[in-house]
Amino acid sequence: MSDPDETTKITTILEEAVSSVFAEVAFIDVEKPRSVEAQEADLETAGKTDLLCAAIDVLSPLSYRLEIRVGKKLLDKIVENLFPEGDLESRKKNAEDSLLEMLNIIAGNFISAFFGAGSETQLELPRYLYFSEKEGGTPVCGLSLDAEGEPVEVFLYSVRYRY
Amino acid sequence: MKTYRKILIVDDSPTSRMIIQRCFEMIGAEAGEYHYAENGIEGLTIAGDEKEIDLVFSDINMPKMDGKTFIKLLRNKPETANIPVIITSSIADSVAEAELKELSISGYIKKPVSPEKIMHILGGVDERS
Repeated sequence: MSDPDETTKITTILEEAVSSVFAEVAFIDVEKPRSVEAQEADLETAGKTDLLCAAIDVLSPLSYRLEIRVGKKLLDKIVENLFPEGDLESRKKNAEDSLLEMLNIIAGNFISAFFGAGSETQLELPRYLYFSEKEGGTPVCGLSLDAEGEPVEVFLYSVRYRY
Repeated sequence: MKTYRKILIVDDSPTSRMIIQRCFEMIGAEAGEYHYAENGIEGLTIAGDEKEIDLVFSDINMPKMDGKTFIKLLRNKPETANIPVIITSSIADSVAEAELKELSISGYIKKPVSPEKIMHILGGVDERS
Protein backbone atom coordinates (compact mmCIF):
# COMPACT_ATOMS: atom_id res chain seq x y z
CA MET A 1 0.00 0.00 0.00
CA SER A 2 2.81 2.45 -0.76
CA ASP A 3 2.04 3.31 -4.41
CA PRO A 4 0.72 6.94 -4.55
CA ASP A 5 -2.07 5.92 -6.94
CA GLU A 6 -3.09 3.18 -4.59
CA THR A 7 -3.02 5.57 -1.61
CA THR A 8 -5.35 7.92 -3.50
CA LYS A 9 -7.67 5.02 -4.28
CA ILE A 10 -7.63 3.87 -0.64
CA THR A 11 -8.34 7.41 0.57
CA THR A 12 -11.29 7.79 -1.82
CA ILE A 13 -12.81 4.43 -0.88
CA LEU A 14 -12.33 5.07 2.83
CA GLU A 15 -13.92 8.51 2.58
CA GLU A 16 -16.91 7.01 0.75
CA ALA A 17 -17.26 4.32 3.41
CA VAL A 18 -17.16 6.90 6.23
CA SER A 19 -19.64 9.23 4.51
CA SER A 20 -22.15 6.52 3.65
CA VAL A 21 -22.08 4.92 7.10
CA PHE A 22 -22.52 8.26 8.88
CA ALA A 23 -25.39 9.12 6.53
CA GLU A 24 -27.17 5.76 6.58
CA VAL A 25 -26.65 4.81 10.21
CA ALA A 26 -26.69 8.14 12.05
CA PHE A 27 -28.29 10.46 9.46
CA ILE A 28 -25.29 12.80 9.65
CA ASP A 29 -23.70 14.36 6.58
CA VAL A 30 -19.93 14.16 6.43
CA GLU A 31 -17.83 16.25 4.07
CA LYS A 32 -14.37 17.69 3.67
CA PRO A 33 -13.73 20.47 6.20
CA ARG A 34 -13.57 24.10 5.09
CA SER A 35 -10.26 24.42 6.87
CA VAL A 36 -8.04 21.52 7.94
CA GLU A 37 -6.19 23.82 10.35
CA ALA A 38 -9.41 24.83 12.08
CA GLN A 39 -10.46 21.18 12.18
CA GLU A 40 -7.22 20.16 13.83
CA ALA A 41 -7.60 22.99 16.34
CA ASP A 42 -11.13 21.77 17.15
CA LEU A 43 -9.88 18.25 17.74
CA GLU A 44 -7.03 19.50 19.85
CA THR A 45 -9.52 21.37 22.01
CA ALA A 46 -11.74 18.31 22.19
CA GLY A 47 -8.69 16.23 23.06
CA LYS A 48 -8.21 18.18 26.23
CA THR A 49 -11.67 17.25 27.35
CA ASP A 50 -13.69 14.64 25.51
CA LEU A 51 -11.90 13.09 22.55
CA LEU A 52 -12.81 9.47 21.88
CA CYS A 53 -10.67 7.13 19.85
CA ALA A 54 -11.79 3.68 18.69
CA ALA A 55 -9.90 1.11 16.66
CA ILE A 56 -10.53 -2.11 14.79
CA ASP A 57 -7.84 -4.54 13.67
CA VAL A 58 -8.14 -6.25 10.32
CA LEU A 59 -6.17 -9.51 10.21
CA SER A 60 -7.02 -10.62 6.68
CA PRO A 61 -6.68 -10.05 3.71
CA LEU A 62 -4.03 -7.60 4.97
CA SER A 63 -2.98 -6.70 8.48
CA TYR A 64 -3.94 -3.18 9.37
CA ARG A 65 -5.75 -1.00 11.86
CA LEU A 66 -8.51 1.50 11.29
CA GLU A 67 -8.94 4.26 13.85
CA ILE A 68 -11.65 6.84 14.29
CA ARG A 69 -11.50 9.95 16.49
CA VAL A 70 -14.52 12.03 17.39
CA GLY A 71 -15.42 14.53 20.06
CA LYS A 72 -18.08 13.78 22.67
CA LYS A 73 -20.41 16.35 21.09
CA LEU A 74 -20.50 14.37 17.84
CA LEU A 75 -21.02 11.11 19.68
CA ASP A 76 -23.95 12.68 21.55
CA LYS A 77 -25.45 13.72 18.21
CA ILE A 78 -25.01 10.20 16.80
CA VAL A 79 -26.72 8.63 19.80
CA GLU A 80 -29.53 11.18 19.74
CA ASN A 81 -30.23 10.29 16.11
CA LEU A 82 -29.94 6.56 16.66
CA PHE A 83 -32.02 6.39 19.83
CA PRO A 84 -34.45 9.30 19.55
CA GLU A 85 -36.85 7.85 22.08
CA GLY A 86 -34.29 6.73 24.63
CA ASP A 87 -33.92 8.42 27.99
CA LEU A 88 -30.65 9.94 29.09
CA GLU A 89 -29.59 6.80 30.96
CA SER A 90 -30.15 4.43 28.03
CA ARG A 91 -28.45 6.87 25.65
CA LYS A 92 -25.39 6.91 27.88
CA LYS A 93 -25.38 3.11 27.89
CA ASN A 94 -25.62 2.96 24.11
CA ALA A 95 -23.17 5.77 23.36
CA GLU A 96 -19.99 3.71 23.51
CA ASP A 97 -21.45 0.91 21.43
CA SER A 98 -22.65 3.27 18.71
CA LEU A 99 -19.18 4.47 17.75
CA LEU A 100 -17.74 0.94 17.84
CA GLU A 101 -20.52 -0.41 15.63
CA MET A 102 -20.15 2.41 13.14
CA LEU A 103 -16.40 1.74 12.96
CA ASN A 104 -17.12 -1.96 12.44
CA ILE A 105 -19.42 -1.16 9.52
CA ILE A 106 -16.97 1.36 8.03
CA ALA A 107 -14.21 -1.27 8.16
CA GLY A 108 -16.45 -3.90 6.54
CA ASN A 109 -17.61 -1.54 3.80
CA PHE A 110 -14.05 -0.41 3.11
CA ILE A 111 -12.76 -3.99 2.83
CA SER A 112 -15.63 -5.06 0.59
CA ALA A 113 -15.11 -2.08 -1.72
CA PHE A 114 -11.32 -2.29 -1.84
CA PHE A 115 -10.67 -6.03 -1.93
CA GLY A 116 -13.94 -7.24 -3.47
CA ALA A 117 -16.67 -9.41 -2.07
CA GLY A 118 -14.83 -12.71 -2.60
CA SER A 119 -11.81 -12.09 -0.39
CA GLU A 120 -11.50 -13.99 2.87
CA THR A 121 -11.79 -11.45 5.67
CA GLN A 122 -10.97 -11.57 9.32
CA LEU A 123 -11.85 -8.68 11.61
CA GLU A 124 -11.22 -8.33 15.32
CA LEU A 125 -13.95 -6.80 17.46
CA PRO A 126 -13.72 -2.98 17.63
CA ARG A 127 -12.57 -1.41 20.86
CA TYR A 128 -11.77 1.91 22.46
CA LEU A 129 -8.17 2.93 22.26
CA TYR A 130 -6.49 4.93 24.95
CA PHE A 131 -3.70 7.19 23.85
CA SER A 132 -1.35 5.59 26.35
CA GLU A 133 -1.70 2.22 24.58
CA LYS A 134 -1.16 3.58 21.08
CA GLU A 135 0.98 1.16 19.12
CA GLY A 136 3.18 1.85 16.16
CA GLY A 137 2.12 1.20 12.61
CA THR A 138 2.85 2.64 9.22
CA PRO A 139 0.31 5.34 8.34
CA VAL A 140 -1.40 4.57 5.04
CA CYS A 141 -3.88 7.41 4.92
CA GLY A 142 -5.70 9.85 7.15
CA LEU A 143 -8.99 11.67 6.71
CA SER A 144 -9.95 14.88 8.42
CA LEU A 145 -13.68 15.42 7.90
CA ASP A 146 -16.52 17.64 9.01
CA ALA A 147 -19.64 15.97 10.40
CA GLU A 148 -22.20 18.77 10.42
CA GLY A 149 -19.85 21.14 12.19
CA GLU A 150 -18.10 18.54 14.36
CA PRO A 151 -14.68 17.13 13.50
CA VAL A 152 -14.11 13.47 12.73
CA GLU A 153 -10.77 11.89 11.87
CA VAL A 154 -10.13 8.45 10.42
CA PHE A 155 -6.71 6.84 10.06
CA LEU A 156 -5.57 3.66 8.39
CA TYR A 157 -2.31 2.06 9.58
CA SER A 158 -0.51 -0.88 8.11
CA VAL A 159 0.50 -3.12 10.99
CA ARG A 160 2.95 -5.91 10.22
CA TYR A 161 4.08 -9.10 11.92
CA ARG A 162 1.76 -8.78 14.84
CA TYR A 163 0.04 -12.15 14.38
CA MET B 1 -46.38 -7.53 4.28
CA LYS B 2 -46.66 -10.57 6.56
CA THR B 3 -47.10 -10.16 10.31
CA TYR B 4 -44.55 -12.08 12.36
CA ARG B 5 -45.27 -13.47 15.79
CA LYS B 6 -41.79 -13.33 17.29
CA ILE B 7 -38.58 -12.00 15.84
CA LEU B 8 -35.16 -12.83 17.25
CA ILE B 9 -32.29 -10.41 16.61
CA VAL B 10 -28.85 -11.85 17.40
CA ASP B 11 -26.15 -9.19 17.43
CA ASP B 12 -23.59 -8.13 20.02
CA SER B 13 -24.23 -4.47 19.27
CA PRO B 14 -27.33 -2.80 20.79
CA THR B 15 -26.98 -0.17 18.06
CA SER B 16 -27.26 -2.79 15.36
CA ARG B 17 -30.23 -4.44 17.05
CA MET B 18 -31.99 -1.07 17.22
CA ILE B 19 -31.26 -0.30 13.55
CA ILE B 20 -32.61 -3.68 12.40
CA GLN B 21 -35.81 -3.31 14.43
CA ARG B 22 -36.31 0.27 13.25
CA CYS B 23 -35.80 -0.65 9.57
CA PHE B 24 -38.17 -3.58 9.97
CA GLU B 25 -40.87 -1.29 11.37
CA MET B 26 -40.23 1.38 8.73
CA ILE B 27 -41.28 -0.96 5.91
CA GLY B 28 -44.60 -1.58 7.62
CA ALA B 29 -43.79 -5.13 8.73
CA GLU B 30 -45.22 -6.09 12.09
CA ALA B 31 -43.98 -8.32 14.87
CA GLY B 32 -45.83 -9.38 18.00
CA GLU B 33 -42.62 -9.50 20.03
CA TYR B 34 -38.94 -8.79 19.59
CA HIS B 35 -36.32 -10.88 21.37
CA TYR B 36 -32.66 -9.95 21.53
CA ALA B 37 -29.48 -11.98 21.98
CA GLU B 38 -25.89 -10.76 22.22
CA ASN B 39 -24.31 -13.91 20.75
CA GLY B 40 -25.09 -17.34 19.32
CA ILE B 41 -25.29 -19.05 22.71
CA GLU B 42 -27.99 -16.66 23.91
CA GLY B 43 -29.69 -16.93 20.53
CA LEU B 44 -29.94 -20.72 20.77
CA THR B 45 -31.37 -20.51 24.29
CA ILE B 46 -34.05 -18.03 23.23
CA ALA B 47 -34.86 -19.93 20.03
CA GLY B 48 -35.29 -23.09 22.13
CA ASP B 49 -37.36 -21.46 24.89
CA GLU B 50 -39.61 -19.29 22.75
CA LYS B 51 -41.72 -21.64 20.69
CA GLU B 52 -43.07 -19.30 18.07
CA ILE B 53 -40.06 -17.50 16.63
CA ASP B 54 -40.74 -17.15 12.94
CA LEU B 55 -37.81 -14.98 11.81
CA VAL B 56 -34.19 -14.54 12.92
CA PHE B 57 -31.72 -11.80 12.06
CA SER B 58 -28.15 -12.78 12.94
CA ASP B 59 -24.78 -11.08 12.79
CA ILE B 60 -21.72 -13.21 11.96
CA ASN B 61 -18.83 -11.70 13.90
CA MET B 62 -19.83 -12.05 17.58
CA PRO B 63 -18.01 -13.03 20.77
CA LYS B 64 -18.59 -16.42 22.50
CA MET B 65 -20.40 -17.99 19.51
CA ASP B 66 -20.36 -16.59 15.98
CA GLY B 67 -23.25 -16.50 13.56
CA LYS B 68 -22.15 -19.48 11.45
CA THR B 69 -21.98 -21.82 14.45
CA PHE B 70 -25.26 -20.45 15.76
CA ILE B 71 -27.08 -21.23 12.49
CA LYS B 72 -25.50 -24.70 12.20
CA LEU B 73 -26.73 -25.57 15.69
CA LEU B 74 -30.12 -23.99 15.01
CA ARG B 75 -30.50 -26.21 11.95
CA ASN B 76 -29.56 -29.32 13.95
CA LYS B 77 -32.61 -29.07 16.20
CA PRO B 78 -35.89 -30.22 14.60
CA GLU B 79 -37.91 -27.52 16.39
CA THR B 80 -35.73 -24.67 15.08
CA ALA B 81 -34.43 -26.20 11.84
CA ASN B 82 -36.87 -24.40 9.56
CA ILE B 83 -36.87 -20.88 11.03
CA PRO B 84 -35.95 -18.38 8.28
CA VAL B 85 -32.61 -16.69 9.07
CA ILE B 86 -31.36 -13.44 7.57
CA ILE B 87 -27.67 -12.71 8.00
CA THR B 88 -26.52 -9.15 8.65
CA SER B 89 -22.79 -8.57 8.32
CA SER B 90 -20.49 -5.60 7.86
CA ILE B 91 -18.61 -7.52 5.17
CA ALA B 92 -19.78 -8.52 1.72
CA ASP B 93 -18.23 -11.96 1.77
CA SER B 94 -19.35 -14.12 -1.14
CA VAL B 95 -17.46 -17.14 0.24
CA ALA B 96 -19.21 -16.90 3.62
CA GLU B 97 -22.50 -16.22 1.88
CA ALA B 98 -22.16 -19.39 -0.22
CA GLU B 99 -21.29 -21.44 2.89
CA LEU B 100 -24.26 -19.99 4.73
CA LYS B 101 -26.61 -20.69 1.84
CA GLU B 102 -25.81 -24.37 2.35
CA LEU B 103 -27.38 -23.85 5.77
CA SER B 104 -30.49 -22.55 4.03
CA ILE B 105 -30.27 -18.93 5.08
CA SER B 106 -32.98 -16.75 3.60
CA GLY B 107 -30.78 -13.79 2.81
CA TYR B 108 -27.53 -11.93 3.42
CA ILE B 109 -27.60 -8.20 4.16
CA LYS B 110 -24.41 -6.19 4.16
CA LYS B 111 -24.51 -3.55 6.91
CA PRO B 112 -25.58 -0.84 7.17
CA VAL B 113 -29.01 -2.44 7.22
CA SER B 114 -31.63 -0.33 5.46
CA PRO B 115 -35.42 -0.65 5.10
CA GLU B 116 -34.98 -1.30 1.34
CA LYS B 117 -32.54 -4.16 1.90
CA ILE B 118 -34.84 -5.80 4.46
CA MET B 119 -37.88 -5.37 2.23
CA HIS B 120 -36.07 -6.99 -0.68
CA ILE B 121 -35.06 -10.04 1.36
CA LEU B 122 -38.39 -10.37 3.14
CA GLY B 123 -40.19 -10.44 -0.20
CA GLY B 124 -38.38 -13.72 -0.92
CA VAL B 125 -38.97 -15.09 2.58
CA ASP B 126 -42.71 -14.38 2.42
CA GLU B 127 -43.00 -15.99 -1.01
CA ARG B 128 -41.38 -19.19 0.22
CA SER B 129 -43.44 -19.45 3.43
